[in-house]
Amino acid sequence: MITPASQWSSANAAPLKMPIYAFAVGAEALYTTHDLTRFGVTGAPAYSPWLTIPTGASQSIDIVQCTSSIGELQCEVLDVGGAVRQFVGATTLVGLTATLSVGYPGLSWAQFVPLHTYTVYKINPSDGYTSFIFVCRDPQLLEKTTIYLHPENGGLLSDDNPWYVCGSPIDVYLSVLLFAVGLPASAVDLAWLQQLNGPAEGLYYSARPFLFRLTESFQAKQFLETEVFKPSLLYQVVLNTGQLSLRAPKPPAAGASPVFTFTQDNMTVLPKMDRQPLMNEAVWQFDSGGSDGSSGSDYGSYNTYVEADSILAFGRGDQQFRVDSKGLRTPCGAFWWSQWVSRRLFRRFAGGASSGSGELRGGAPVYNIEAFLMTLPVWTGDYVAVTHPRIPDVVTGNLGIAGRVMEVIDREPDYQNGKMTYKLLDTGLTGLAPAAVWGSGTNAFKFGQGRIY
Amino acid sequence: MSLTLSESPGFTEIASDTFDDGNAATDVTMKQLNANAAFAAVRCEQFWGYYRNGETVSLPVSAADAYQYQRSELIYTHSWYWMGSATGPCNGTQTPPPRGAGSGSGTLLGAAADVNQLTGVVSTVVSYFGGGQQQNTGDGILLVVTLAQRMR
Repeated sequence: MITPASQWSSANAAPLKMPIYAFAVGAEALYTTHDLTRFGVTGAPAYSPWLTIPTGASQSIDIVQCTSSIGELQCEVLDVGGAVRQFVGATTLVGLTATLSVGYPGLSWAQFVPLHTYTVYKINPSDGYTSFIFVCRDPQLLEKTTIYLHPENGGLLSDDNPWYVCGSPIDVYLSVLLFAVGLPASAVDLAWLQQLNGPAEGLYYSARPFLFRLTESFQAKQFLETEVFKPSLLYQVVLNTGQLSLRAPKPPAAGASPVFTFTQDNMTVLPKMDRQPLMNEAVWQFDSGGSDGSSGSDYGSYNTYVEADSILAFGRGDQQFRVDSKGLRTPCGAFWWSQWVSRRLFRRFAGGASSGSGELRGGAPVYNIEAFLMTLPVWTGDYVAVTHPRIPDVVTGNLGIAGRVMEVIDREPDYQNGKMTYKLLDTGLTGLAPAAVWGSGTNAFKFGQGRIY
Repeated sequence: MSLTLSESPGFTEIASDTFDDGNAATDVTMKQLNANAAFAAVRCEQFWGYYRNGETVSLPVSAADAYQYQRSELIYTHSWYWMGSATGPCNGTQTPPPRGAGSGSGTLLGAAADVNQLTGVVSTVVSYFGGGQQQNTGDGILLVVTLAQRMR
């Protein structure tokens, strides 16, 4: 969720409003859709009001395979008097950080909110050469780097020079991004990742299931998605600030607190409904090259989990969750880890037979929602609530749902037409209590007061 | 009734402040505790078998969870079972092997036995004195006890 200043939120919530978009290319240029001075925007740096309203950039998550798409933003700037042509021809812009921000008349420049912070990928003139199109891609592009050098000694990765990476999924993620890819710490959402890795969340603080012995070159994004995210059910999101972050397969310890409520007042049409495939079988292979990873490429352990209630209710799903991990090791707790992750998988995608919020009676429902532009602070990975008197309740069969808690797994803006499209996943979080918390003093254990979610 | 674990537990160090008041009590922590308790039960195991000179103590497999030990996790102790020859390979059998005749002649002079702590190779020397000279033989059967300790 983007958290703007209150003045921005008030302006955004107004029924009649005129968003002003600003596209900054590093510190080299600032293009806006409106004349900022004329519309009362104070404190802005030098700008040129030649930007056409962009479509925006989408972000989509494959919640089971734990992959995320690389967003692409195209900003078209009118070439007034050939100024952009000359600027593009005289300045190296590819690789610079580009930011698309939005504000409203009367706000100060500091109150503008960044919507996308991307990297300039290429710049091309439009058909007819009347404008230039700045094509930018999100920072996941940097993860497409192939890592072939040992981050610690600079030598080639090989059997004689392996890179050992171990720890929690967060540890491995940060090791690859900061040491191997070479991103600065400011490029990742460090505060949240540290919280996710810390004792307050109780997820990964003591979990150190991975021990990788990397002897060959690898692409960072593919490695992270297949070897770290999927065996942990994590997925990556790019924040509006351009920072890379992760979302866990369960809500924060404080509970799934919706940051926004979609209602009939902010949706433009009735949502389209679909279902995720049923997942009630998980197949794991780990202990690659023996439990210490010393040699070979085969797997020493094979383990399967099935959700019996789901299979009894629905039969076998048409998809298996399969993990062939080169990093999970029995001595590091791979068995309990794989059991825990499988349980989380079944809890979300086995049809709700074992969930705490009622039977979903099939794969997790997915809602495609079209909403007004005012919903744009909602971000991929957020928990939101949906209340609508006309949406069928798949749990009860009644008409209308109230306060169903869902997860945003796709966000597609259309700034040109002033609307937003989201894909919301209902995995049965509604009504789920937050985690039980260790107490203090003589009543130290408080399991009776809450569920271990 | 023997101890049976359906999964190899592995050890996960749980930081001491995990259970500070105010922290979340999650299923992850419970599974770690359970795995650590199971790990503690099988952390140290003992195995035994009969071996003769030149044989290598086999890498044991835990009867509890089928954990395959590595050589670095083992130490050995032994005792003499027989100073005469073995009638055939022993290779860790737990059936008392037949006692063969001594291959030397004369008076029993001395005996030495060892299990190499790095390689697990068993070596025995049984010496005789007769006809004015010493004869060294590879006779001997040892009962080897393997003390296994999982390293992680």
